[in-house]
Amino acid sequence: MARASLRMLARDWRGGELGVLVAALVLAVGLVSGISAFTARLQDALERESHRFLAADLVLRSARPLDSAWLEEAEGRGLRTAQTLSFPSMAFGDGERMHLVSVKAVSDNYPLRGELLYADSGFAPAQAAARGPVPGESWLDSRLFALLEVESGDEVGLGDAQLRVTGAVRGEPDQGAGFYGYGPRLMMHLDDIPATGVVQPGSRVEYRQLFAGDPGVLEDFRQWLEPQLAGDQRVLDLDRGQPGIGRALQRAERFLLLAGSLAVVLAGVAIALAAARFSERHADYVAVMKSLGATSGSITRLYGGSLALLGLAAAVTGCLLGWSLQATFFRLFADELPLTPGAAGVRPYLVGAVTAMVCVLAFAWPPIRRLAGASPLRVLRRDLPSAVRRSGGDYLLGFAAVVLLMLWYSQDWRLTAAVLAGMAVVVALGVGGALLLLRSGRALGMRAGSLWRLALGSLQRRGIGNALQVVVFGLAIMQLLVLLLVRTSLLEEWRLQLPENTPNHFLINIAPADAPRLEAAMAEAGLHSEPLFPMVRARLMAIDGVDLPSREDAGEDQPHQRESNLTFSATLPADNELVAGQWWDPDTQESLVSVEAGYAEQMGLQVGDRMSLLVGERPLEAKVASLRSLQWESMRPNFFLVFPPAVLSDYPATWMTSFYLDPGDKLFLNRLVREFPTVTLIEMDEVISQVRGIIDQVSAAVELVLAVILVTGALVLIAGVQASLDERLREGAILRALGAPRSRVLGALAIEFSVLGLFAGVLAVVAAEVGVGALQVLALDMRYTPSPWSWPLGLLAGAVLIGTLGVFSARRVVSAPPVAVLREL
Amino acid sequence: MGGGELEILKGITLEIKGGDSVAIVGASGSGKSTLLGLLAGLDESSAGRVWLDGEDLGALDEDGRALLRARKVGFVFQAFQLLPALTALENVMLPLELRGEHSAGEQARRFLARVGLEARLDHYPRQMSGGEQQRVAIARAFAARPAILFADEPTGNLDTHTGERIVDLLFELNREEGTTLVLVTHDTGLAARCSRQLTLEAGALVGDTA
Repeated sequence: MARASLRMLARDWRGGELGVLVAALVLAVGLVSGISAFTARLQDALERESHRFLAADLVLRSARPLDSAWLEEAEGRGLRTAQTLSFPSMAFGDGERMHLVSVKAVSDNYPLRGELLYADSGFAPAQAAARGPVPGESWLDSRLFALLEVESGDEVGLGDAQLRVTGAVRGEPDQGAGFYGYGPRLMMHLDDIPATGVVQPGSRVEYRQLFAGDPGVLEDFRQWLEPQLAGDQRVLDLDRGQPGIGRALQRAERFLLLAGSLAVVLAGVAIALAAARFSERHADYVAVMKSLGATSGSITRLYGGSLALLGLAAAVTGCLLGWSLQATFFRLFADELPLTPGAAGVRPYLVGAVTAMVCVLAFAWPPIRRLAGASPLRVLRRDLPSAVRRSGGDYLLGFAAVVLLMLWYSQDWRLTAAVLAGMAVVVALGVGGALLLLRSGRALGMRAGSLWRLALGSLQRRGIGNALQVVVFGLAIMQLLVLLLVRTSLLEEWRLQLPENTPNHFLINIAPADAPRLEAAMAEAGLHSEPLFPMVRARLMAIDGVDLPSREDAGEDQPHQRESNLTFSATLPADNELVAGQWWDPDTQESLVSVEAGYAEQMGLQVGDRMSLLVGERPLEAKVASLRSLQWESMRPNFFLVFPPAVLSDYPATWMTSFYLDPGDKLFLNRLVREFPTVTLIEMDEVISQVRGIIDQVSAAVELVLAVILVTGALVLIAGVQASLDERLREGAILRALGAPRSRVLGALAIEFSVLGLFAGVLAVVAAEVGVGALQVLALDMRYTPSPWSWPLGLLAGAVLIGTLGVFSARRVVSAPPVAVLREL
Repeated sequence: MGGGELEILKGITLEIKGGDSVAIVGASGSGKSTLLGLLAGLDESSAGRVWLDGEDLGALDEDGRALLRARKVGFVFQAFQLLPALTALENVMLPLELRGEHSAGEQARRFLARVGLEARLDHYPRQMSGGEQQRVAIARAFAARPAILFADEPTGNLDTHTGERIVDLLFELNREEGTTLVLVTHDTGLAARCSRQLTLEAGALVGDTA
């Protein structure tokens, strides 16, 4: 039987019958494995990139020294390890010079991931360092050279130890982790810590244990480690270490998966169409075989064998296509992609093979299996209906396959549900609405010229088939719209988070007397700074008269005593949005407070509650007047608690601000710290440029995937047109035999496809709005935003794209000699 | 046609006069359908020339031949070749509209009544039997009042009884309209009803009763 199947395939191949089916299958497998490999490689690259932010693959953070048994366990499992220890301390330079520094002591292997940058002296060009400072030596932040009046080769004092300065530290992969570390960096070796004597039990320090190695081993180790952790110990992964970037990456991943699963749905439809066409064309052949004595069983075996061989060949070809698709893309866009793509592994090709199998079984097999039921009477009477019509069961099977495949690809039921909701709307509206529209279009065509009547009549005659085409085209356009819409809102949101000129330097501890002088100095340097905010340090002690437990005594997520920075303001600060209560009168004397919404939720605070705080030794009572939401990513000074000016103005305050400094103007900082030695400067520019770099990379990836999908959409459109090509060839030949010039035949085709495209466009826009709305709300945690421009875009794209592609794909209708067509068919 | 090596028709010279009815007969593969296609301007010959009602088909391009067909030629095919998207009435109206006639609907109705289908104007081809479809095709062919009508095995897909009725109709209309009729057939009975029979064998004209 296998040989008979092979012979039949060979014969059909020469006859060109299998072309569309195989092409659709290969396309599906190629797309799925290509996108899968593409996203796998990007994800791998993004993941490696993100690990740079931790300087490791996994980090354990703790306020106490770590159990050395854990370290031995990790090394026993073949993981590489390193340690860092961070704390604020006072560094002593030449003579009387001293400054608060943020010390980071590192072990020999630091960093495990990413690059440490250093320079020989304060302003020499940066270069990559293989390791941190050796014992006895230290590297300083460039500004510390001026602040402490030291040069390379001099010594700085830290506690009881003297360290020789041998370089300037210019960049740490995990410096983002020290977001709130005050003071310029002093980096030293971990072995010198005991000699300094500054780290005592109870000191405010942060130990970090860094691990790197094989992902599987790491995951096992993490599972082993996590149950043993104390309350103040945390395992950091990208999400916990860098919530902003983690979220952006996760969204990007979902976006790519969405693109992949939509492509499969489209290909599935194309395969089903092609298989139906294949079996229609084989109905006569089967009738002949049956009239010659073939049984249903032998025909089932013959076609089953053929399809199995076909599936196998298509899977292999498709995987090759997928591989070359993604390889070509990475090569083409190598310059634009700031990442080095990682390895894809075998999973994409496994995904491709399984996809091929499912597509063959769920989409191609049902109509072909029904061939065995073809009546041998068809040999004599061609006008008998073919037995290959689809049943409800076929659609159910196809639907189940789509759902399972999408679930498998995305491993996210919410995403699957959102996409399916969009598709359900397309199918329901498509089949129902398209039939209705086609019918009314037909009535209109009756009164119009012959060209229109022909086009609209042709649309209506293939009513169900065209409704299906509308659905397919609608899906393709919807997919483009969804991707465009989601991409736009994703990119917008990311860009809004960190616009150009985001403040990248913070100044805190500004003495009230210095504030006006500082503002003048900044204005003179032409710097745009945020307003100066007063800052009062306070501790929340009780809510509504109930004392809060200390942090150590409170359970996880329970309200507890808490240190916060307070500020006062007559008006609602920029970027803040009131979510409950009311903002106060600017001159109010009442003791009110406005609380950040997340803080309020954590502490169980509501409008009207009374908060009892301690500023130094002085108590401060205030009633919660309003709750605010704010953008932490804005890099502007943000405060959990804001008071009316009258309430806070006689408490001791320092001032703070943030400003944007161009990288070329870094020297201004030296002047600033010299003129205002008591002010603490926090530099965020490196962190911000790292975050921005990641966002740029993700955006590039998203745009690449969109390009892949655009090509897919066009291919599926062409495949759809091909399915009806035989009929069109015949009709074109008849028309031309009757004396219609080419231009009229083409005109009718153009009208037909444009109208089809218009319907598809209407459908796509409605469905895309629903789908995007569901996606934004359910899967992407964004707000639903309607997009009016999708209407003209969708309709225009539908009519022009499908009109052009349709006429282009059907151009043979006017080029083949009519007699040849009429004789063939 | 089939490349330089294969000669499908060779050395055929013939003239068909207006008002004649001519049957082209011959075994399968003798080239009779090819000859019909060339005569009707549906195909281009690799050598030789064809004149249709005084016009040299070789001097016209595809669209030029289409215009000529619209003005002067009607067809009846073995497989009916009705446009499935159009009703019986619309199918018959089509060639009239292609010629830009204003009373297309009226004329089409008249010819459909002539072939006995006045009750089935709004039916689609798929809703009709083979005989009815061929009658629509005949109405379509005559409605445009062609100078010459080509028929390719007009009874090939029909049972004997229906076939006979279709042939009767064809000749009746041919007489009424004074059309030149050229048909290809296997059916010796049908061929005998024509005033002239051309016999083809392996691409060569071996018999001509004229």
